[in-house]
Amino acid sequence: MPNNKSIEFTLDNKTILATEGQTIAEAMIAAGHKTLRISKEGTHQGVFCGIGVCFGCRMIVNGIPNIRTCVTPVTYGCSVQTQNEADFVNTKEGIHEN
Amino acid sequence: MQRATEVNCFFACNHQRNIIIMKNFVEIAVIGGGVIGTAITYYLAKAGFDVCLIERNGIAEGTSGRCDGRVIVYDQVPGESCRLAKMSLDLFPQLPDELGFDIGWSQEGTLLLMESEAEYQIAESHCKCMAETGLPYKMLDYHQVHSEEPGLAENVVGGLSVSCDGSVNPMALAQGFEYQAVKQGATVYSNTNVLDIKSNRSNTVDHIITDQGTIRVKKIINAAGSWAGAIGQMVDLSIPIKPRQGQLIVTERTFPVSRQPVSEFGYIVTRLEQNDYQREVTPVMEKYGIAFALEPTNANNFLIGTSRCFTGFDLTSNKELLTAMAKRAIRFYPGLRDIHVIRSYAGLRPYAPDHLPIISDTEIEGFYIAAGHEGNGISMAPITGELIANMIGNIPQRIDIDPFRWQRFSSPKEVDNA
Repeated sequence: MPNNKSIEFTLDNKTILATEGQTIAEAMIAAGHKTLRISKEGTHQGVFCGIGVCFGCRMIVNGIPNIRTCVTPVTYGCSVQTQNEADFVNTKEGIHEN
Repeated sequence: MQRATEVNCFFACNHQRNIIIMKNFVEIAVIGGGVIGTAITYYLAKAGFDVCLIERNGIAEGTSGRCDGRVIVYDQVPGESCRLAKMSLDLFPQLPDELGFDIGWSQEGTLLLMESEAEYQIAESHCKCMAETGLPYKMLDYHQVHSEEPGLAENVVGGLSVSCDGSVNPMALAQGFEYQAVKQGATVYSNTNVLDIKSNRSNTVDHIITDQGTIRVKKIINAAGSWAGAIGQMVDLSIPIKPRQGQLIVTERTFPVSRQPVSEFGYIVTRLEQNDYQREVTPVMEKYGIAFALEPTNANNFLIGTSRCFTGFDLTSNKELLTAMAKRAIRFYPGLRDIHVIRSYAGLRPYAPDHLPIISDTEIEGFYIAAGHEGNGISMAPITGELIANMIGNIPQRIDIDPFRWQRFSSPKEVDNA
């Protein structure tokens, strides 16, 4: 690889080291993290197509949900969070049901 | 309880043979398989009538499948239309059990947002006025509205909560009505196009000619919505209903941007009388009749609306319009800026010139009209079904139906004198 410069980013507030030019998903796999997203039903989801088509690898990047990490390069200091879709459920509705 | 995903078995079994065998005679035929037509079919079947539903395509494939699912009174002003909307809303809570079908009903209310002090003052008097008619309207000041809706733009000055409003899945609602109507003995002819209606010498409807055969009838209910005019022409009635296009944006599944369905109050102000207030609008918003509305769905997507314009039967999406609609939404919820759009769609709301539906008999014996609900078809479907069933069964109505009579268009002189 011509460029081996490493850059730091955070995954759920833990620091992770990536190689410049890697996508977030690549860096995650390289660091041994297979779970990128947890579905509403609680199943763990990882990279599927790897080319930005299937939306399987969606994560929260810099506070914005549903970012396809397989086509998003790592930038220095970016904050990546596992997307737990149980949090999508409307809290107000939950209150009404109780 | 039945779910909407279960395939309409009528279609499945007839699809194989590729022909539809129609009965020779049915007492009442309902034309139009939207939410209005299916509701009428259900209420007639429930009352014991021999009824069939004739739909050109499939159930809820027209306007009822191209709308949002709000069941509301918030866009009403005191009057007949408001009473009708409230009566219809009151029928919804019992519908899931009555139909034995999951229609996706929930009653989370609506929050109306005011963007200026002037709007807030108008909202206060509107709130008082609506609360007097017994509706659960409540004002929220700056702090209350922002604690209820953390994602709101800072310069929204207050809110008006309408807690009786609800939401359904409109396609499931139509399928639910159809499901229970068939259980009660109704017949449904989908993929059946009505070509002509013939009357006999005494100006009474006699039979319907379709591309699947001819059926003799005693009564016909025109519930064809935006296409009601074309059905009316077959019996020489000129029904002034025309399609008014409304587009909607669907976002990806995401965190709760808003915690409840919200709308802008400014648009309702234009409907209130004795008001010279005008909300600030851009020329593009004016051109497409854009007003902000945001509806969270059960799947955690959001529907963003709304627009209103006359483009004939055109169903194509328009980038300029969608952009203006998205901008309007971001004005109220800046967080929407980061949310992706996954698709958009347009529907044709059946517009009547005086914004009131036509739920009525006509000068043609046995020909009834139930159409022209514009944006309130989902909300008013159950009450429309009930009113038509009572009309045909000669049962006294619970509400004065004069304002919804067809005769207001057919004999303008009478209306002028009254």
